Amino acid sequence: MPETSLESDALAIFQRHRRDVYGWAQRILGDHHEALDVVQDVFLKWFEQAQFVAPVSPRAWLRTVTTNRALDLVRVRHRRPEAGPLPREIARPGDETTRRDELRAAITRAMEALSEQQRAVLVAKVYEGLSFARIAEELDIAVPTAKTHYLRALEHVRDRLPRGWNPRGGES
Amino acid sequence: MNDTPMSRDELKTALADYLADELPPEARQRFEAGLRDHADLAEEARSLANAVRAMRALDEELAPAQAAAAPPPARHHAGWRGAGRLLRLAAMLALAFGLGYAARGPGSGPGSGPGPGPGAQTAERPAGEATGGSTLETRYAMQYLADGQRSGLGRALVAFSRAVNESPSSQTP
Repeated sequence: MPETSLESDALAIFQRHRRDVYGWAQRILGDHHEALDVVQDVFLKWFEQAQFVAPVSPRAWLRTVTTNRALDLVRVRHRRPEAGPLPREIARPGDETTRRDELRAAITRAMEALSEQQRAVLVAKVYEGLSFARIAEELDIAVPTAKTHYLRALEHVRDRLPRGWNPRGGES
Repeated sequence: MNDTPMSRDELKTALADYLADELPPEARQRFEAGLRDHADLAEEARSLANAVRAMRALDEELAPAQAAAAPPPARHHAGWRGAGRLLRLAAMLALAFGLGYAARGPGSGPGSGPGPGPGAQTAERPAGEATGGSTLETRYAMQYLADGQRSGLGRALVAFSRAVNESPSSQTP
């Protein structure tokens, strides 16, 4: 059976962007399988939507939906009963894995507190390195607005970083 | 060439561009010269740059963490998480399309259209065959998937799901 245009378009979008979608989710979740779950959810949503009207900027749409979906999963995690602290011989406050987990949790908390546009600007800027002009075009906002969103978002992140976090050594 | 240090107002306006490394070299020099006269703004710029570095620090761990976490490349074995993901895909399809589908019965999924469409060609397949006789919802969902392979969207979704679960490159993106 020949491929339809819908199929080939959808699969092309998937092939082109799946690594980025995975990366955006993985940065927030820090979990390979949960990130793959997000990849599936996001592209399913894309397929459903693309039947009717494809977003003007697929990448911007995917970035926003991925970030939101990953944060949804983080919220689900928060609602789960706590398993209790790890045994002392496993959880070592100073070790690199614990520091990374604390850092990711702090950044995730900050991102949860942002508006959707602030979050979209922050991810596009920090993780994709897009120019303010490009971000403004993708989100259909003014360039100064994109810059303001970026600063406000960074302030949120800064204010929630683990105490003593230091970019060189992990902590000061 | 203007080498005057930026004023306080100019510094505030240029802060986002500075942090994003979008200031041209001359403006950057003027910005940094201006910071020397405004310690509070210098501290603000330093702390926000630190926030950017914190976020990028997660990037640095991305590749090695993926390599460590990724199961061995296996073209046709996605493990129980992959199987769970496929079941969830089926459940989502059932949620998205299942009500009308369940009312009409197997063979009426998208792409089958009115009457006995392409999906109906698999309608006689026992639902339990695809599912191992699980819950009614899952049986409908799995039947939908079987039918869906004959429709455009369904085939794309199944191909997509296989790619997510089975592609070695998706396990180590």
